Amino acid sequence: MQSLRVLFAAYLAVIGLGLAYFAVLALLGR
Amino acid sequence: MRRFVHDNSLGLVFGGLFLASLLGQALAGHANFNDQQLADGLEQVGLLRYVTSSSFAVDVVENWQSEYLQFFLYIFGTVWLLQRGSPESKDLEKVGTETDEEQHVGAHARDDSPMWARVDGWRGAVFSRSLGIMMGSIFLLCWLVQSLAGWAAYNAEQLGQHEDPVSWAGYLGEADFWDRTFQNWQSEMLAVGSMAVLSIYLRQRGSPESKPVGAAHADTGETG
Repeated sequence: MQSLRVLFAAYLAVIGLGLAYFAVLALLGR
Repeated sequence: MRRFVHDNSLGLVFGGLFLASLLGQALAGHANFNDQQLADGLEQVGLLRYVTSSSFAVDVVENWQSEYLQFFLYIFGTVWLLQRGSPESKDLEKVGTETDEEQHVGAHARDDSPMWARVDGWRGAVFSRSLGIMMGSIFLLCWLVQSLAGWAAYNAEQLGQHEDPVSWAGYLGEADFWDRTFQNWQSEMLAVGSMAVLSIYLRQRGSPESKPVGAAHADTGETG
């Protein structure tokens, strides 16, 4: 069960961090 | 470790394919960007500059939003919409949110049911819709970021052509925003419809996305 939580968290982290990264690029006007 | 890989191969393989595809997009997008720069008489940019550009950001996120819209619509839509003969559809008489007994919630929760499936009130209501809520939220966030990154990339292009930049609200009315949006949406809707309809008559042995090979064409909601 612990490994399922790790995979779940990893997917959410990739989506969340990816979106945050792209939002910062956009707001910096890069 | 072998057990972990065996038990999680679907999530792991698609996670790996995502990263490899994103790398491919970065490399091909960089080459394409520089081809355009050359054609416009502008200077070439390095790979690092490209992957930290709004041009790369909008190209990635416009695809993300449409995928999450697809799953959001599919998850919510299949509560109410049916397709006779499709393993993607539920049984024809089960339309709607179904009974607490069928869903194992509240008084009908099982010993191993999640905590929030046992309780009534807002926690039960949220948990009962959490998959759709998450997919819908990610879709809206991706679409918002697409609009911001597309706006920045659009204005960079405008400035390169010595034209006036537009406001964010102005960009939402530009053809570029809606072209990027609809070109992704149309393909997702076609793919979902195809999956629902083609799986009526076609089979993939061993796949839970298909009916069992020997299932009747009219059988609905059966997966094998």
